[in-house]
Amino acid sequence: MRGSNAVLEKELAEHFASKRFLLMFALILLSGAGAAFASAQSLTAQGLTKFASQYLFLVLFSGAASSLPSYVYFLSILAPILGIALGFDSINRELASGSMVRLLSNPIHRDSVIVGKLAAGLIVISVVVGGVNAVIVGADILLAGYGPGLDTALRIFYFTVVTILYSAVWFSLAMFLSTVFRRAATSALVSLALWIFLSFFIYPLATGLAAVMAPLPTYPAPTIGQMLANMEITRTIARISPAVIYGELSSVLLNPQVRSLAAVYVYSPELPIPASLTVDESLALSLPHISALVAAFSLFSILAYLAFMRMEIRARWE
Amino acid sequence: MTAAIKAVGLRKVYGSFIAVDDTSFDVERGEIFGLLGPNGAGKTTTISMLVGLIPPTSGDAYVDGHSVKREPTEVRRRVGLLPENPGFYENLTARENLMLTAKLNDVPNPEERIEELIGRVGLSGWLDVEVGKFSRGMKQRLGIADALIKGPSVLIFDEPTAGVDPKGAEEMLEIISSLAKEEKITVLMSSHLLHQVERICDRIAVMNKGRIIAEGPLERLTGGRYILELEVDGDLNTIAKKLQLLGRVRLEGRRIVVEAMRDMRKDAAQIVLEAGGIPLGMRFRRPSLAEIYRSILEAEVGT
Repeated sequence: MRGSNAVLEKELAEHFASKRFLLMFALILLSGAGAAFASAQSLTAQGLTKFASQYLFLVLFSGAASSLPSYVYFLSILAPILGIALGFDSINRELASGSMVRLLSNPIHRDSVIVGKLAAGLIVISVVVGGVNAVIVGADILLAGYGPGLDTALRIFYFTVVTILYSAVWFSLAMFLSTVFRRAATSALVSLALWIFLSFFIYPLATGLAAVMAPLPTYPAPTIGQMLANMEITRTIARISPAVIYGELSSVLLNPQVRSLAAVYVYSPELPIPASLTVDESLALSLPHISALVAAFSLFSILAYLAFMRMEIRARWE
Repeated sequence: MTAAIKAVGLRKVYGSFIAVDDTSFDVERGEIFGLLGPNGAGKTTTISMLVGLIPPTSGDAYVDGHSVKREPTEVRRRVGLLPENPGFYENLTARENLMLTAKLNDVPNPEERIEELIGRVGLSGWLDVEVGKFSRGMKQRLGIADALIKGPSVLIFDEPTAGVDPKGAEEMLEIISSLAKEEKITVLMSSHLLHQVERICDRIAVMNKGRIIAEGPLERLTGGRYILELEVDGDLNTIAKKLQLLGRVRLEGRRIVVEAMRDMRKDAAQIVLEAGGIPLGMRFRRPSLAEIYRSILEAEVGT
């Protein structure tokens, strides 16, 4: 579409020149670089070299070895903020400034505006997350003196794609809220509130609800069936949150030893052999979660689209 | 030839609020048409419908014969709009802003066209400056260039001089009237600033509460009304009261202003003398648009 290409170009020009883009880029890059140094140091301190494990590069990349918060943890916080920062005022700021009227008084269809905006957001998120991850991998190679194997490289690639998708979910949610609320401050606060709730309060809520729906008796000791039911409810409720989905995805993709996302009975005869999964097996295990993120992104994008198409936009915005 | 703009029974209703009610008018090619009215009269809503931004609840409008209801995209291809707030991206340069509009309209040779138009509105040196650094008057002029990029046959201005200093407003009006005179572009402008409308518009419609309450060329709106300003020595109140026989009378400081439907100079002088006053000065004129506007609105309130 001609219109959406022009809107896309303009959105990119605006994003790349904006201070919040630079700020988010710098934040993610700095946290990644810090985690990489800390990680490399602690691996050296523990005397671990590439001969210790074929997955050592993954440990280095994710920053799991050091006592500092890992790079994956930083991303789980900063990726949603990046998405929200790009989306929260996407529509309502243009309405307030009058530029939406200027756009729409041209011979384009209204949907090309929102399509262009969604595409531009995805591109910017991909550039930031993909770019920083590439830099971090490069830094890790320099610090460690060896590179990732094919399996590890693919894992990092899939993880990057999933992180982009996760950020895009928050971007599309923020975009939807920016069509619903007239004031950018309101849409920003609501986006952030939702993010904080779904990231930090969903587990207490899930365990609380599970305790009501499938209580665990203290005496006699709960049966395995009761414990499983309780866990299942906790997990199901928690998985409403994209943050929980993303957390589980990153552990599957970056840790080959995670072999299941369901409850596993330790003494079960069906317990899989305790061997590492290949990257394809890990990917297969994470497909439902990836679909969930895709679905969330599609849902919010469609909601934003519908809300925007139905909006009454006059030549003056009072 | 069909009219450049033809509104037929345009109506826009928001819930129980009628923003525009059964509005019809024609604007001929090359004409400057003024849409006049107090704030909230429905001018911006009318304009929004003419550009195809919002669909009318009922009725339709045609720009060069294209219906705003059925072919809004065709309409927007022909209409250049300058909203009250031009809405440029402040962190992009003037060139980048205009380039976006050029792309949205598939303009051939956009670079040349932008250079030409920017010279026309007198902003040649400012092409690569961020719009955020522009004054309001400059933004308005850039807005004209922006509206002209697509080569429109109709230009619509919403309060083009609002918030612009007098010199800037003067320049705006000059550009607008030269566009109509030299390039035969049809212009519709809304305003509540009467003296400006009076200066450049060929025809005027007065809107109030969503309706057009008077419409026509300036002469017709001012026709049949006469104003007499009297400077009198004597008891002003008594004299004014007696003068009410002739028409509407009001006191403006030391002056008595009489508005009537006929030439009443002789009668007025006689009344003043009979009331014991001495006429010091007398000015007889046609009413200004402001006075017509006021009397139309007052009549409207009265009914």
